[in-house]
Amino acid sequence: MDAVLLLIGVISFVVGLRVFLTKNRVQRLLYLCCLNFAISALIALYIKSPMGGVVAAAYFIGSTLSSNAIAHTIGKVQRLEGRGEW
Amino acid sequence: MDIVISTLYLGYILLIFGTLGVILGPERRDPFVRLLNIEIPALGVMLIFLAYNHTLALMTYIAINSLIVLVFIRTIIRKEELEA
Amino acid sequence: MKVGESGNVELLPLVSIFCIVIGCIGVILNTHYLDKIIMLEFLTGGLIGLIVSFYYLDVAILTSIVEPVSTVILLLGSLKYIYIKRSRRRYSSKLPVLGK
Repeated sequence: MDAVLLLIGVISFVVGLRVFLTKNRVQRLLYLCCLNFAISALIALYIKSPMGGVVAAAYFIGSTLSSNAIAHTIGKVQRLEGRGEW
Repeated sequence: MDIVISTLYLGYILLIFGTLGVILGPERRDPFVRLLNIEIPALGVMLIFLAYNHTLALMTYIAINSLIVLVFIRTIIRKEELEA
Repeated sequence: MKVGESGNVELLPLVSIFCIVIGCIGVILNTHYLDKIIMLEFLTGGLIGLIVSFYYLDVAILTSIVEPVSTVILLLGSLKYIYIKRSRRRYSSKLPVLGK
């Protein structure tokens, strides 16, 4: 097993546990974004074919778009509830 | 352990736990919370389709499952507007 | 289909199964809408990883294109639902003042 693959796997496990255990919502979104990047890297390393790069790029673009949408909604909800002016 | 057997049992576990979560989960009187809990048994059905190699059924189910969310959201918001 | 042969354990199915189990517990136990949507995103990432580890690449591309659309629809619906609930509560709390 490769060293890079093992390192990405350990990072993914640690970040997945921290997504479940953290209470703050903004910090949780940050760890989720890191985990999406790790899964995209694992997909690109798992498939030994040029098609794997296409799948990894599609998943990367989709997860980044979705995380941006969640971050925008968190800002709007916090402004609606009146705490935190950002 | 083989990945196919593991995926099949994971799908069964997700189906049972998701149904129990929809029926007696926390704050189940809110219809939006119940709609978000409904997504878990749908994902369990997707895993069972994946374990039995039904590719076309999996693609159709994923595409329809994102369309049915639109109808449910529209219905919940309309109901909440009518009750106000 | 034999995926995990040649002795060593594969890492992508392991991470995906971990994500699915943690996400299933997290979606049910959280009560705020945005926490549930974040955990749903987590769960869908696990599903895409498991589809890729079965070598169904076309299904994986379709899932990763369709899934942000569903998330954006859920977010817009939850924002409008929170706004309607707050507006109705404020209006009903203002009603006795008008009734005096």
